[in-house]
Amino acid sequence: MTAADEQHIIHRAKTGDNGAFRLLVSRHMKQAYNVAFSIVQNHHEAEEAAQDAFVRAFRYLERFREDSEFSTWLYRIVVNVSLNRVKKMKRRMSRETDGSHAIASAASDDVHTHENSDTIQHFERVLHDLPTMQRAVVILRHLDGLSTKQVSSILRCSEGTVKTHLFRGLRNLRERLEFIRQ
Amino acid sequence: VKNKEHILEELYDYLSGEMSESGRVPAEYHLQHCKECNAECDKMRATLAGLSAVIYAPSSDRSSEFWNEFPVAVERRLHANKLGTRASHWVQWWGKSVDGSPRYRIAVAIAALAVGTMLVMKWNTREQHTSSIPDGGRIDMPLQLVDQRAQKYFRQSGVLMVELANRKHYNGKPNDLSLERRVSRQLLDEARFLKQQPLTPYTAQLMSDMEPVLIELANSEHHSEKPTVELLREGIFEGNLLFKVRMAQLAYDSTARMRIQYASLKE
Repeated sequence: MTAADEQHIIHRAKTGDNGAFRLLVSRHMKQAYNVAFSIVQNHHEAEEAAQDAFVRAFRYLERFREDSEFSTWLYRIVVNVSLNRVKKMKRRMSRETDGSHAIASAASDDVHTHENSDTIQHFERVLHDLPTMQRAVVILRHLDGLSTKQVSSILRCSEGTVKTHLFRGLRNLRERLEFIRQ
Repeated sequence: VKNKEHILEELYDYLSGEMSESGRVPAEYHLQHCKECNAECDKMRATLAGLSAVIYAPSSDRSSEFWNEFPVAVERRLHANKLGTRASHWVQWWGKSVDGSPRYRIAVAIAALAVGTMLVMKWNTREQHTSSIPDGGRIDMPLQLVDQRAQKYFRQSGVLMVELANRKHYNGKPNDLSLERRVSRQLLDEARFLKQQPLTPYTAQLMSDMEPVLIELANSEHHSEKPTVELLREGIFEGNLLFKVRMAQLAYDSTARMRIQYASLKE
């Protein structure tokens, strides 16, 4: 699908064409899911967040001014919804348990496990234990292959902030891994 | 990149090859002369290599059925959301229209509901009087029995509508609707009978609104495919039938309760 095709579909969706919106959902659902997962770290929550984000996107589609890519606009909604869900999860967890660490350990029960070595499992665990913004930036930038500009637009922060989060995230990752190895 | 400043935050762009030529040349020069940045660069390279091995797309954990169902689930949410938005508009309208404290507004709402229930009952009584006029093939019943049957009709319809609205996600297998089909046929027969009886215009209208959904369900194939279920669900949401049936149920329940209270008072 070319950019012009997508623009046409967006125009149709803006007029309330459900079929056009369904096409947009089909096109972006996996990426939206990945973005949500990078923040909430849980399949169920990622599904909820991604679906909720699409509903909001449809509701506020009129506000999409088309000065940026639709995906960037959509992922910004996904990020906002996901961050709200993380806040709720933390509140719920802190009510249920005393340790904030519970989220990471609970979430890690649900994440993909690899059959490779312990190092990879350590990597996974440490990545999931990173502060939310650092983890989100590392995954958006490195896994989803988004540019610094796109990530800054999604997270509504400067490119410099994205670079700082990315650098700190990667350094944190390395330091935590070194700590585990010792 | 200024050569005297550290380039730690530029290292990712440099290592991922995304740095422009104008930035890469001074960065390489800096790395050759700055031990700290050079060491950090080596460490980051190792971290990125490890990261590449572990990072994956979580979406790949989900089955193709999940992704087929995903747009349908979003649409279902959209419908539910529209109902919620309508409800919130009513609440906002109520908030704007009725001045005073929240307690006062709740009290006004309860009073309005009570007046509404009384009006329904009054209407029923009036219909009872008019029903005494003989009609072609109509079988006249005591109003109390009509109400009881209508109450049962709406209770069963409510269960059926909720069941259809909450039908589990389509998983590629046909939906077994045999039980629902049987119930819908019974309900259609019951509605045909009740329409011959003295009913409030609201009740008769609601029964007519529900008819297309029930007929669609009654005529569905033994193992219905996804579109039938989706069609039924659309009919339920578009007609706002869940809410209307629930309101009718409440009205008939409260009427029955008041009848019992009235009978006990008479005793």
